[in-house]
Amino acid sequence: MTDATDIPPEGPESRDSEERPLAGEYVLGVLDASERAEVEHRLSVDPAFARSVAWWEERLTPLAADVASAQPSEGLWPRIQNLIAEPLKPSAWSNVTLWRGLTAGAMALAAACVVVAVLPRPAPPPAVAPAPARPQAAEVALIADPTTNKPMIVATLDHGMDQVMLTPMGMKMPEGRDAELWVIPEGQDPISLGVMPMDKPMRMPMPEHLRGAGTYTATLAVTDEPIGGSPSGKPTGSVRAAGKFARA
Amino acid sequence: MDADSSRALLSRAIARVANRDQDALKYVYRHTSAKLLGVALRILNDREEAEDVLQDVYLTVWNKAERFDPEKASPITWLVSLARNRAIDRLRSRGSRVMTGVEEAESLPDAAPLAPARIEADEDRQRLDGCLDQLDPKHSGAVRKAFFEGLTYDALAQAVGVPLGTMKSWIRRSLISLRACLEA
Repeated sequence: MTDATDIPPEGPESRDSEERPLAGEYVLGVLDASERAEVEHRLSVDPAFARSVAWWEERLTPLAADVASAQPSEGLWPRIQNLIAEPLKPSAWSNVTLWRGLTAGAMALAAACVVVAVLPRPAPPPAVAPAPARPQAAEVALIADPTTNKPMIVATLDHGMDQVMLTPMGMKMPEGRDAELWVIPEGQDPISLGVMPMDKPMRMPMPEHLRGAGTYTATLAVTDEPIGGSPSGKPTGSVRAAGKFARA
Repeated sequence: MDADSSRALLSRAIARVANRDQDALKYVYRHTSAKLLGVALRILNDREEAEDVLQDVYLTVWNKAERFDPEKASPITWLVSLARNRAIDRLRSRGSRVMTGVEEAESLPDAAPLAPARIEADEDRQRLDGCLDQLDPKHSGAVRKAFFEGLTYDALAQAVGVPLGTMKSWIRRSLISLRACLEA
């Protein structure tokens, strides 16, 4: 073997090592919290010392073979996968047109909701969302995949401009199908709001059914439909995402 | 699969993780999570905390995979070191609860290597065993206990029932002897 960790420890660490084999002590795990913090700082500024730590890691880690393995619970991988999932592509976040016209409050609210939505832990109370008493309040709905609960679209009501803004977050339609958006007032049939693009945010005039009390009772849903939208004016495909506005 | 090819496959998977390949991370998880959980559980004696450590470890792999250099370290050494360091830091942050679960840990096996769990080339392991065997059995026992349980000098001295100064001297002398032996 000729890898770098075969080079015996050298530098400052070996000069004082007759008294204290600090790198070895760190790797073995006998140092207390403050000593560990000092060592970790030194690791970042002292390459010879870092080599010495790497040398000990490579030599002592074979001991880990003696530790009995333990099967992680089934939920652990999905938890990790959820945390590394990137429903919001950085390009979407930095897209200026995405946020143009939105009030700062709405933006912070949207960001807060998105963060909550991708964390596996229980959502913090809504109190975390900034709720300044602004005349132009905006509400956010997460239109989520009904099977995975993963948000697919963020819908924001912009009362200032009397518009709804829809931001798709990595939603995909089957080949040869369009995404059609529906508003479903409580107890009524779905009403088409039209076909929406999956690769960029869009704005549309405020639908009548998302005003007043209807704002919080109506459901927004997305179905996959033939290109151009459902020919009958009624949903024909399967529901890809659905959600409601919550009172901010 | 022999140790060399599993090492090579794991190194390649980590390289793909650096390119944001989720399937590659899943490969790394599938092949290492049981071992890493065993290591973290041995230190923490608490499954929930040990799984939190694992979550941190794989997120670190996801975010810092490019820091892994297969020329300088074996992938399992990198991963086990990450897991041990996270678990030890968590153990330290518990403070006064540091001694809980030591008895439970005692009952877990740490002597007989489990055949399917052999994680490094036998050559490295035999060399280490040979060097550990040259130490006073009490000293090598303390070294192994320290490695498996991540105990401070203080906690280790209490657990073994010797004064702190004695334990420090055992461990430091053992490390100096081990270094000389492993370099030879």
